[in-house]
Amino acid sequence: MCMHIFKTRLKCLLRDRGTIFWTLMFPLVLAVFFNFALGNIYSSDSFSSIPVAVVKDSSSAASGFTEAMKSASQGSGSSGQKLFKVKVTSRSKAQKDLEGGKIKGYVFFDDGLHVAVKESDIDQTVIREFADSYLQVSASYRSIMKIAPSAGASFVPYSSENNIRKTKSGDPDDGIAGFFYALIAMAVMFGGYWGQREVEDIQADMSPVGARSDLAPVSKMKAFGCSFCAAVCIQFASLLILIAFLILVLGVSFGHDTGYIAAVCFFGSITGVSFGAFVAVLIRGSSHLRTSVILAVSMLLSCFAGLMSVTLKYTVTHAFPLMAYVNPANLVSDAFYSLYYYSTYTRLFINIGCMCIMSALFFTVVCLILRRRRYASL
Amino acid sequence: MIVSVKNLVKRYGDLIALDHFSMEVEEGEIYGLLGPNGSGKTTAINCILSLLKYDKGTIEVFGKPMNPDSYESKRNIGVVMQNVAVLEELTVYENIDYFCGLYVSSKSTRRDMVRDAVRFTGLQDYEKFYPKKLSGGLLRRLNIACGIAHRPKLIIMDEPTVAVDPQSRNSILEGIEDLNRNGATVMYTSHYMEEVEQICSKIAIMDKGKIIASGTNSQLKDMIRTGEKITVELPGPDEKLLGEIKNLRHIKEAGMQGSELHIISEHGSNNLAQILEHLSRRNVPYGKVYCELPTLNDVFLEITGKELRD
Repeated sequence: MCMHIFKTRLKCLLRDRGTIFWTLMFPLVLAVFFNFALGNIYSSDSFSSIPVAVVKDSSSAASGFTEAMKSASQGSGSSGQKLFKVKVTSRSKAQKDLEGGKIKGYVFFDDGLHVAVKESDIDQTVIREFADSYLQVSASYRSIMKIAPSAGASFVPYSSENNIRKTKSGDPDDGIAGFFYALIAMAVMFGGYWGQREVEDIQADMSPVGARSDLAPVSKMKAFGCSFCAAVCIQFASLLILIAFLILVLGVSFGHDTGYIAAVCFFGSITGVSFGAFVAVLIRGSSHLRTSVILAVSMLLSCFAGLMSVTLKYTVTHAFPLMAYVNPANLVSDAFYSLYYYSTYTRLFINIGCMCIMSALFFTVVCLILRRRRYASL
Repeated sequence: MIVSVKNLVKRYGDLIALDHFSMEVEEGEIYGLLGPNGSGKTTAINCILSLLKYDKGTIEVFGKPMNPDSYESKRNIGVVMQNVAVLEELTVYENIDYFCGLYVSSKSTRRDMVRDAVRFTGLQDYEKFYPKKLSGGLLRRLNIACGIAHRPKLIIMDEPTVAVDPQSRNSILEGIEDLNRNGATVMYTSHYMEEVEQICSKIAIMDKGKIIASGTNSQLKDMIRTGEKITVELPGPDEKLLGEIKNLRHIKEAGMQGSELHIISEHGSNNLAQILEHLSRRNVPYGKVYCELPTLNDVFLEITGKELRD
C-alpha cells in the first residue's frame, strides 16, 4: 500500500509541469541570469583603478598610510587587481586635480586622517572605506603592541593581500558564491509547492481528489507520510540537478565536501516540503492564496538570506541574530557558506540541526491538523 | 440495514442544513435522494461518509457507527462524488488503478478489477488518455470507474450525471442498474426526477434538510390527490363545455388554452374514459388526446407548493 501510494505520487509530481518549473527550471534560469549579471560586475576587466592622491606629510601616520595605499596600488592576489592609482603630491595640487577631475579624491593629514572628495559615488566610497579600514587596523596594531610587543613582529598592519578572503579549499573568493547559495535556498523554499500539493491532495476541503482520498480505508498519516516522502525525493533530485548545473556549467565553487553538500540538500528538501505543507494546512481559502503566500514568504526569506544583496543577509543577521536560526532559507545558504569557508563543521551542523528542528515542528503541526479529521464544511 | 441515519442535525452557522434527517437503506436497494439544489442531499451524503462534522444524530453503516477511522466499513463503500475527482497527471488507467489500490493491495486482483471497471464504463479506447483530453461525459465515466473499481458493497453516487450528455447519462444509469443487479446497494442523489423514477426502488424526497416523503415510486404518487393530466384537442374554445367538464366527478382543474382543453384529474380510475364519454354524448368532435400520469414533480409540488426545479 505504502509503495503504491509512494510510486503513484512520485509519478504525479514528476508530471506536474507547473511545480517542476518553479522548483527546478526557474532557479536554473535565474542562476544563468545571475552568472551573466554578477560575473561582469566582479570581473577584473570591468574594474579600473581609482585615481587618488596622498598629500605629502612627514608624520609617521602619513607615511604608514602612504605605504598602505601604494601596496593597494601594486596589485595583489591571483587577479593582480590594482585598487588605486596613487600619486603623492602637495595639497594645493591635489585640490586642483580633484577639481579638474583627474583624481577621485585625496587624503591629507591635519590632526588626523581626512579624505577630500568632490562627489559621492562608488569610487569615493571605496577611498573612504579604505581609509577607515586602515585606521581601525592601525588602532588594533597599536593596542596589541602595548599589551604584547613581541606579537607585533608577526602582525602585518595592513596589506591589500590580507583583505582577500581565503576559502577553505584555497580558491579565491570571487564574491558571488553567496548569491548562488541564496539562490539554492530559494529553490529549497520553492519545495514548499510540493508540500502544498501533497496537503491539498489529501484534504477533503481543499480538493475533490482530497475528498476521494479521505474516503479510502487508509490512515491519513500513512497516506501523507508516503506522499511526503515522494515530494522530498523529487525536491532532493531537483536540488542535486541545480547544484550539478552550478558546479559543472557555471563553475560555482562549493568546496569539496560532496557528502555534506548532498546532506544540506537532503535536509533542505525536508525543510522546504514541510514548510509548504505547514503553510497549506494553516491557510484557509483558495489554492492560489496558498501558492501566493508560499511564494511571498519564500522570496522574503530568500532575500534575507542574501538573494538580492549579501549585505542584507549580514545586516539582518546582526540586527536580529535569532532570525539567522529561524529563517530556513538563511540556514541553507549559511550551511553552504560554512562548507565553503570554514575548516570545521560546527556551523554546518548547527544549521542542519536547526533545519531538522524546524522540519519536525512543521511536520508535527501538519500531522496534528491532518489526523482523524471531520470538516465543518466542504 | 446497510445505512441507518437517525435524527441528523447539521448547522452552518444559523442555517440548518439537515433538520432531524432520518433514513434507512436496505441491502439490494437503489435508494434515491431527490430534492432541489440546496435541499441538503450532498450534506447528508458527506455526513454519512464521515467527511462532515454534524451537531446531532447517529449514523451507522453496515451496522457499525461511522467515523473517519471506520476503515472496515470504508473498504466496502464506493463513492462517486459530484465533482470529478481524478488526478490530472495520471492516465485513465493509472487513475483507476491508483484509487483502486487504496482499497486492494494485491496487484493481480487489482489488475482484473481495473480492467472490469474500464470495460464497465466503456473507457477501453481511452485507457492511455489524460483526463484533460476527455470530454465531460467521459470524465464522468472515469469518475465513476474510480469510485467502483474495488467492487464495493455500497455505492454512493452524488449527482453523477450533472452536465452529462443524454447518451452518456443513459449509459451511466444503465450501469448503475447493472451494479445493483450484481449485488451492490446504491444510494443515488439527484435533482433530476426522471432519473430517480427510472432507476430507484425506493425514493426519499428532500426539502430544506428534511425528508418530506419516502417510499416507492408508486407509493409516493399514491400519496397525492393529483391524478392524470389530460389534454384534448377540440375544434375551438367552448366555454359551456368547459363548465360541464369542471362539474364532472374527480376533476380537480380544467381550462382552455386556445382550442386545447387541459384537465387535471384527482387520483382515481376511469377519468379519461369519463371525459371521452361526455364528449361523445355531447357530440363534440375531438382530435388528439394526451394523458400524462403524475410525476414526482407533482408529488413535490403538492407537498411543498413549489416546483422541484424552482
